[in-house]
Amino acid sequence: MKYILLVLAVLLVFVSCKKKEAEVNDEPFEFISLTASDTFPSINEYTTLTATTKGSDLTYTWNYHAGVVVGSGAVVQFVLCHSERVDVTCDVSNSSGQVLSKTIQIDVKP
Amino acid sequence: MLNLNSTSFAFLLILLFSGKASFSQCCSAGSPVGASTNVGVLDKGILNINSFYRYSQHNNYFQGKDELKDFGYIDYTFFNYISLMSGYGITYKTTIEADMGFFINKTQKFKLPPGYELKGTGFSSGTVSIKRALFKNTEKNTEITGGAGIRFPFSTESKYYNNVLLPVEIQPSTGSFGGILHLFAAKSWHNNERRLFTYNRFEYNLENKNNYQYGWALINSVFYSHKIIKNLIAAGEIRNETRQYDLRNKARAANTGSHVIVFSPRIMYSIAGKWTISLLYDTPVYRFYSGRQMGLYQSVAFNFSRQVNIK
Repeated sequence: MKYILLVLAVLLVFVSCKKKEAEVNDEPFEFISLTASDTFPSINEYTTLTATTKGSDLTYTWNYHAGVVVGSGAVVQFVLCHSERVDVTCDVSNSSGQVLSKTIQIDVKP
Repeated sequence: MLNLNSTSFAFLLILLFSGKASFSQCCSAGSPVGASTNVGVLDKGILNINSFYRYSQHNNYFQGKDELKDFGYIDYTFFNYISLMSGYGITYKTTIEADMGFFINKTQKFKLPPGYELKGTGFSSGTVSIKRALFKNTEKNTEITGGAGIRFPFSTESKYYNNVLLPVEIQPSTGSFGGILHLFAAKSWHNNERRLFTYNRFEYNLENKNNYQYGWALINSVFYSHKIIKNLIAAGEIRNETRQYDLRNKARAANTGSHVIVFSPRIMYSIAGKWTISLLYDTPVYRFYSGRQMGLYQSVAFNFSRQVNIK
């Protein structure tokens, strides 16, 4: 009886420690477009950036070299306090680790 | 050996060639300048531990010397910063120093949307430097010290807030390596009851992995301290801060580079001859910003230091 319990305990450990298989997201994943409400905003004027995507459990990461992105997620706002052409990039990733990127150029008028 | 007259002349030269350095950018929360007044060499075997906290606020845009009213989308910016510095006297004339700093927060408060804020937090950078007394005469209470060191980032990765890259102005670290040069000269009278000294620091930053290079900075300070009563010292500092414009992909980055002169009165209190506490307030007396940048409004710092002999 003692040995049977020991074997069961070992089996229980193995079963509970079984590595979970990586989740595979079979849903379609697509980065359709990245648009701005105004690609030629004035200084200090907000422009709305919209990332249109297909898929679920998506994460939106925003990168730029000047100005500031306000908000988070698929729809954010961009503003700059001086005149400059700025590339704003949105990286979209899904739960499988796939990443799609698009960049939009915002030309802030003087 | 220098005599007192030539030492005075050296002081005069240093004062004449004193520059400046500031750490502002378009919507900057600024960067901290240390609050320490122990910037010379330590005696052999002396360990100096120095910690300070600084709060700094920038609240108006400037274009050149002119303040811009109702400009910009940022209401004000501020930071809370803590730092730890230690120095050790290796020999009578040589001291090794190390310091590190941490931004509790480096925040931009927005006018629109109202109440919105972006916040950076994390380690700024560390420095390791060595100082050597070029001239030290304890009888005449005179010292001229030079030094050099390296600055290193604790992280070269940019910080994000809710998966949105933080603006360069509130990144806690430059993310780059750099070098530092120091020059310090001091003269005291009446058994250190009165002290005049100047501290000059040049910082050079290399390009970081995002192809951004912060401009060099030059900080020149002139201090005068006077013993008021036993254990209590009052001091005043005029600090000239200059920052060269930054480079992005080798091209000049807009709205960077500045020249600020700050007046900083402070009081220092010594407890049992071992602990020193100082409190200081920075207020700008001259501000010039290239392009349009948030200007320094005020800054306060609290400094706490202790020296121990570990020979």
